[in-house]
Amino acid sequence: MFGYVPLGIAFGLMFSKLGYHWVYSFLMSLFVYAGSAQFLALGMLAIHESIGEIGLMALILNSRQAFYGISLAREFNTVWRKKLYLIFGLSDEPYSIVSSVPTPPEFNKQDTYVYYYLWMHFYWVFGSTLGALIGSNLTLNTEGMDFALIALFVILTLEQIKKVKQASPFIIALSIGILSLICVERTHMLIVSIIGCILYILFKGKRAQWI
Amino acid sequence: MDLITDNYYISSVIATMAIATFFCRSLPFFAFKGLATHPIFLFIGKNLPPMIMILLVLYGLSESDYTRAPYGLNELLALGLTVIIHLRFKNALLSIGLGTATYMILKQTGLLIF
Repeated sequence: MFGYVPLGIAFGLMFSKLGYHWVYSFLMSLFVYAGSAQFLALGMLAIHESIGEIGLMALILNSRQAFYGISLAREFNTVWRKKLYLIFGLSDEPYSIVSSVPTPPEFNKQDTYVYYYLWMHFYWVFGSTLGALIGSNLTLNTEGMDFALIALFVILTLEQIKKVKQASPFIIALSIGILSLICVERTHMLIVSIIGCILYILFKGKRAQWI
Repeated sequence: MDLITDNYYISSVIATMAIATFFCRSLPFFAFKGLATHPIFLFIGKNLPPMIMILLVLYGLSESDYTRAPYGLNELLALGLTVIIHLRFKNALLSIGLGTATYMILKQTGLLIF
C-alpha cells in the first residue's frame, strides 16, 4: 500500500519542474488519482498541449480501468457515498490490492476496502504535495524519475505472481502485449492488449483459469 | 503566458482528466449494470488482473529507446534490483526508492554506455 508514497514524491518532484504552484500537484493527485496518466500528462503540460488532447490521453490510457470495475462490480455493494468513493478511487494499486488481498472476516468487506482506499489516496496526495513542495525549492535533475511508476507496477506484478503461483498468465499476457506493441502505436497498446487478453480468456475458458 | 491564463490552463487540465478518469472507472457501474453478475464477467474479472499488471510493466518499459546505447541495460539493471530488493525486504518504499534511484543514476551519468 505504501507504493504510492515514493511514486507520489517522484510525481511531485517532476511536476514542480513545470513551474506551476505546488497546490496544483495536490489538486491533480486528489481529483484525478491516476498515476500513469498523471506522469504522461507531465510531458504534455511541458509542451503546452491542448486541454482536449490531454483529456483524450487520460480517457484512452485509463480505459483499462473500466475493466477493473467489471471485475469488481459485485464487491462494491454498499451505501451510495461509499460506493461512489470505491468507484472513484479505483486506480491500479487499489485494484490490485482489492483483487488479491483477502479481507479479515470480522470486518465488513466494503468498509475495509474504503479503509485501504483512504490510505492509498492519502499516500498519493501526500507524496505528490511533498514532492512538489520540495521540488519548487530545490534544483534537481529529475531525469529517469518516472521509472518509479514501472517499479510500482513490477511490485504489483510480483504480488500477483505470489497469488497465482504459475507462469502462464504472465507469459501469455507478455506475448499479447509485445504483439500489440508491434501492431499498434504505444498509446493504444494497453487497450488492445487488454482486449486481446479478454478474448484469450473467453476462448480458452477453463484452461485460462489461474485463480 | 501570464499567471492567470496559466492557472486557468492547469485547472482545466486537472478537471478534464478527473472527469475522463472517473468516467472510465464508473462505466461498468452505469452502462453494463446487468452484465456485472453474468458468470462470464465474473470469470474474466478473476483471471484478468494478473495479466493486466504485467501489461502495465511492459507499457512503462516501452517508452525507452532500445535501439541506442546502452540498449536497455539501464532498465534491466534497475528492474532486476527492484525485484531482488522487493523479494528480500518486501518493502514497497525501499524497492521503488532504490530501483528508481539506480535508474536515475544510470540514466543521468550514462555509466553503462561504453
